[in-house]
Amino acid sequence: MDAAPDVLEASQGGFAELNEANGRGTAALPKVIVDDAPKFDLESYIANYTGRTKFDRLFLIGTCSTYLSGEALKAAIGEAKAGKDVARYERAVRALGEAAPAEKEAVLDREWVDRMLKTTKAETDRLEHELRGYKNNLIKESIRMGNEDLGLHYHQIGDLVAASKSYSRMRDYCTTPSHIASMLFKVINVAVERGDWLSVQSNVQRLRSLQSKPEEQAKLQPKMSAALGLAQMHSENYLEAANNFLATDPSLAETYAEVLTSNDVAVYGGLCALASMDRGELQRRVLDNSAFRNFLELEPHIRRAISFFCNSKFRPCLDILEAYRADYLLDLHLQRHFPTLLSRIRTKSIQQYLVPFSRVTLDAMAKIFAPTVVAGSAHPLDLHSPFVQELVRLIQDGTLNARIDLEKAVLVATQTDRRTEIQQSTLDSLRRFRQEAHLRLLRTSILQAGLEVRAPPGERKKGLDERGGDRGPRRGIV
Amino acid sequence: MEELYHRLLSVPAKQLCSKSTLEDDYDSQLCDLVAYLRQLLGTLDSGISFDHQSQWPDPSIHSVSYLFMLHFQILFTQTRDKTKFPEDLFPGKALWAKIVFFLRNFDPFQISYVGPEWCRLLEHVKLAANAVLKPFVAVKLIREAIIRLDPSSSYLTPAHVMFLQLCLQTKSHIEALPIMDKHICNIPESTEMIYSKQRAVASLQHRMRPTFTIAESSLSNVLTYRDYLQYFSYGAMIYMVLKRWGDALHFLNIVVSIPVTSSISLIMVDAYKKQILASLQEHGKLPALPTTVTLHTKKLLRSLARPYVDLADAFEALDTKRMLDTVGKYRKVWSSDKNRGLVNQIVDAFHSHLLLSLGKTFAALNMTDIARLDVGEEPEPVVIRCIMSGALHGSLVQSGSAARSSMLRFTEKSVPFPVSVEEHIQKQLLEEQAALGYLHSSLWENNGGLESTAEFIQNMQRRQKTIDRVQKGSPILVEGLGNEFQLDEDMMEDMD
Repeated sequence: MDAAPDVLEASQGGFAELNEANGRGTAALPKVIVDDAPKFDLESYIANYTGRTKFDRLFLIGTCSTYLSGEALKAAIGEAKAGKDVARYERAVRALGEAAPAEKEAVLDREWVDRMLKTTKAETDRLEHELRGYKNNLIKESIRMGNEDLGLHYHQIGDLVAASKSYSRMRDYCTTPSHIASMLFKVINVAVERGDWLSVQSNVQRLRSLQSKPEEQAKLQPKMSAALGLAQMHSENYLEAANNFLATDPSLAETYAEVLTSNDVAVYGGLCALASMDRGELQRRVLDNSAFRNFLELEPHIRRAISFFCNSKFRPCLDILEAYRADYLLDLHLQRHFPTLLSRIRTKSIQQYLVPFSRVTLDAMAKIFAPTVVAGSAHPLDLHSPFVQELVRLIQDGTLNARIDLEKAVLVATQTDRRTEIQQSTLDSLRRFRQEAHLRLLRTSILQAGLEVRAPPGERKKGLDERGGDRGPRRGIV
Repeated sequence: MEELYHRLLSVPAKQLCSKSTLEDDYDSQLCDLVAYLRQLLGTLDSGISFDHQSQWPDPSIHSVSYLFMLHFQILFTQTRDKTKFPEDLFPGKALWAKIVFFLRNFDPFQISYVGPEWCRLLEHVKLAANAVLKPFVAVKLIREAIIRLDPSSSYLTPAHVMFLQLCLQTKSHIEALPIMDKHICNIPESTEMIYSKQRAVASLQHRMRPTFTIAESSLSNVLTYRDYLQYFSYGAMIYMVLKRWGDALHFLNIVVSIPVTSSISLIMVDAYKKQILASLQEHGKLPALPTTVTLHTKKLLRSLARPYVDLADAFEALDTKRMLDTVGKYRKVWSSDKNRGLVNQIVDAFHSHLLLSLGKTFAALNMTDIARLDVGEEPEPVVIRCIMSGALHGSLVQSGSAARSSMLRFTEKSVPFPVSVEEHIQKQLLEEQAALGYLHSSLWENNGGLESTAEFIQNMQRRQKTIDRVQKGSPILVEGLGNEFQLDEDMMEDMD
């Protein structure tokens, strides 16, 4: 293990690390750099979390934010040193070395690394030995606990694959539903860290189908919903994600701090709902949802954004989201999805804005959806201005049912004659059916008459002789 | 001679026969006559001349005899003048007049016994008209004859293929429509089969058992897959000339979806190329091959029509430069495939397609913007051409000052009276309904044919055996015979 820390890093890495690896390796997922200062206070923000997600979050902030990099990375190093994961410590030191080489924490503590490697190695051996002993004795409960200890240990030293294997091995030795539930949650937590969202989803399903008492189930519900919502969000299934976050019970509070907090549920749920639901649904299912209100109270600006959207005040809504852009881009789970979510919300706003109009000036629209462009350019509504190009894209992919009139600088809603359209489509489908029927009828006739295309007997023989020789494209043609 | 003449007049048209003549008798009498005349025609070297006008019977009563007399006469004049096209046969001459008279008055039922000879007569008509460089005279005559023999024109005959070829040759495209617009639904195994089947249908109406007689027929009269492919390819070409792209596409679809064993026909490749061009013209995209086409055939067709597929890709991408490059790159291919004219039309279609797609996004925009959106050449003439040709609904507004370019405003398709549009659509719906009804009846006819094939009967026997084995003693369910033959269940059982 100590021989190849780099290999371990790749195999064990959670998705935060993967992101970083991708950023280094390919151009497909460039590393997000945030220059603006976020609105949160780092210390109080990170104090909400426990466990390994703390380091992941600090490391992400440290590598992505230019404003907080030193502070966050130093905290990350401290966090790593408090644990047993050597690879993360080395990674954090390297990152700090790049960001602020002058800091005294930027120097690798060789002595600690060696000592920790030795300790963890010894610990691994001890636990594995113990487990073997339990297995020989065939005591179910001991084997379960032995696996659990080993899994916990692997998780702590950052060997996530081995950890999830150990936890999964507990399955056969669980005797009560509560054992199974705790085992599944451990597997889920490791899967969340690994970014294996499929595994999260399947394990949540297993939890759901667990035969346990209703009160037990109620206790598990908030964590289950939150985990499933997270998995759905990462699978870009935003509507489902929103549904799951909205169904999360407020009793979640701080019980799931090793993965996410109630504040996160509010933000993720709010943004996913904004991006995927229409105004009526938002009002009914988000704002009037008394359970979710508890979450929203933690993040009042999300609540404000949603209510602005519901009241068709799109500019303030977008303004709020823009204002918190830095915060969201520095969030472990939201970073990859925020641009998509924002553009969806924007598209939906444009769509909703156009509903009452049959024609609207581009100027009025630009004031709401592209104020900076209007202010900064001499010809704000030229064909090549970004705002008009955005509209063109939306029209071409069928999102907006309207046309741009560049002479009068207005957007005209397309009026369709439903009656004629339906008549025409009926006629078309009838025609298609008739032609298909004719085709099939002729086919049976041909087959019946034995008129299939076949090579003349002589050529056929010749063709067989040639087989294996010339395989040019002309073969098989008569 | 006397005996022959007597023989010729022995079997008159059916409706003139005495009622005592049984249907079977009539059939065998006619068959005997045909066999005798065929044998005579085969053994004669110099033909027979019927010089006296009085010797010629009424063609509507003695159609078979009249047809053979024409053949005897043609053979006679051919040997007399020692030429393949004797002068007597030319339009305007005596023999030609007789042929015309016959083709307009023959009795379809009788002629159904002598299909090959009838086709040969049409061949003579075509060649004679060609010989005097007046092929057009033959067009109408042949068309009338085809429709007279089979008003529904649902059987493909060699005459059909010959007719379309003649229409293409004489550029009389519209003349071909009455034949082409009828659906060909049946393909006979041999021409003899056509007529005998038709006879069977006719006799079915008289509640008589059908008699299928596949007489030996000369080779030239057996339909091959080539005739079938040619008929639909020619038809597609005619439709393309008339710019009825949808119908042309359907015909080409028929060509490329012919069942194949191991090889494909070059006609299919040619048709696929044309299909791509027609589809670009009509829909602006690569045509989807019918689902009945096998994967192997699809691959083969695609690989053989590579330049055309490239052209379609460029067209679909709405990329002007790539489109024009592709057209230029494969110039030789278009020429050698004789598709240059079509490709030129595609370039025009591409421009109007491009403008139409702009019209979906914009309500109005000026020429400089269109030029920047890459329409290729100077946009204004292109736009004007498209508006003039009716491909694009829009208007150009030129501004007063020279500095500003003119503005193109896309307008909705102008509908003067909605009522007239609805009427038009209703008319088309009724037409489709009629076509479907026709297909439906052909389907039944075809089904009947299939049910009497050896394979079907064998299959049924096999199934009966298995059913027998499975449920011994219980009544056998026979599919296709309707529900009345099924087990008589106790309907009231559930009601208790």
